[in-house]
Amino acid sequence: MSPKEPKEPLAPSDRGILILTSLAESEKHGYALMKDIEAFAGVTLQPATLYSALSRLESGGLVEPLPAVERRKPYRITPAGSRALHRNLSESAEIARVGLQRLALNDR
Amino acid sequence: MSTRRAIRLMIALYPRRWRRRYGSELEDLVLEAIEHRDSSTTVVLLNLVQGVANERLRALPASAPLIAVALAGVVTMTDLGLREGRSSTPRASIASILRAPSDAPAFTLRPRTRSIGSVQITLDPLTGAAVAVTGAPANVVIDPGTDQPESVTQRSSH
Repeated sequence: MSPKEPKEPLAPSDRGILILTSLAESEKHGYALMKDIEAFAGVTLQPATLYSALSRLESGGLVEPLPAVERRKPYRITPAGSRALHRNLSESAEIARVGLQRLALNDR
Repeated sequence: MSTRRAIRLMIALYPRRWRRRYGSELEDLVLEAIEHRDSSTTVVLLNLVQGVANERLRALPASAPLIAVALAGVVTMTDLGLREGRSSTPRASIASILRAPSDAPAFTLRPRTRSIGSVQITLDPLTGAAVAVTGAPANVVIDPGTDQPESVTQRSSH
C-alpha cells in the first residue's frame, strides 16, 4: 500500500463531520443541529462545542449562514463542504472495511 | 447570580471578534438547551469554559506558547470533566454514521491535534491526554501518556 497524500489543511474534525452530515440533509439552526446529531449519532454536542465547530467550518468555507428566521440563524453546507464530507466519509469507509475484514480473519 | 447572567458572563470572555459574530446565537442556543432540559446548567457552564479556552487558544499569537500550553490544559481538563458528566453513552464516531453494527465498538481513529502558533499538541482521541508536542520552547515539557495537569511542567533553566 502506498503512503497517503498529506491531508488538506481544512480537513474537518469529527465534530465537523457530524455537523456536515446533518447539514447534508437540509439547512438547520443550532438547536435543530443538536437534536439531529443526537438522533443519528447518539451524541449530544453541547452548545459551545457546536458553535466552536461551526465557526471553524464557516471560516473554512464548508458551511455558510443564511438569513435569520425569528432570531435563529440557519446554516447550510457549501459545495466545498459536500466535497470534504464525501472525501472524509469515503476514507473512513475504507478504514472500516479493512478493519472489519481483518477482525473477521482473526475470528476464523 | 442568575443562570442567564452567568451565561452572559462566560460568553463575554470569548474573543471579541468571535463573540460579535456568534455570541447572541450561542446564548440563545444555551438557553434553549437548558429550557428543554437537554443539558444541565453545570454541564453547559463547564462547556462554556472549554469553549472560551478553545477560542482564546485559537486567537493567540504565535509568540505566546506558554499561555497556549496552559489553555490547552484547561481544554483537556474540561473535556475530561464533561465526559464524566455526560448522561448518555457517547457513540459519536464515523463508524456510527456508516451504520456500523450496534454491538460494534465505535471509536475515533485519528488523534486530535491543537496548533498554537508554532506549537503542535497531539491529544489521544480516547483519553484526551497529550501524547506528543512539537515546536514547544526548550523549557516546556509535556510528559507523554498522562492526562494530569501536573504533566505540563516548566523545566528550570540551569
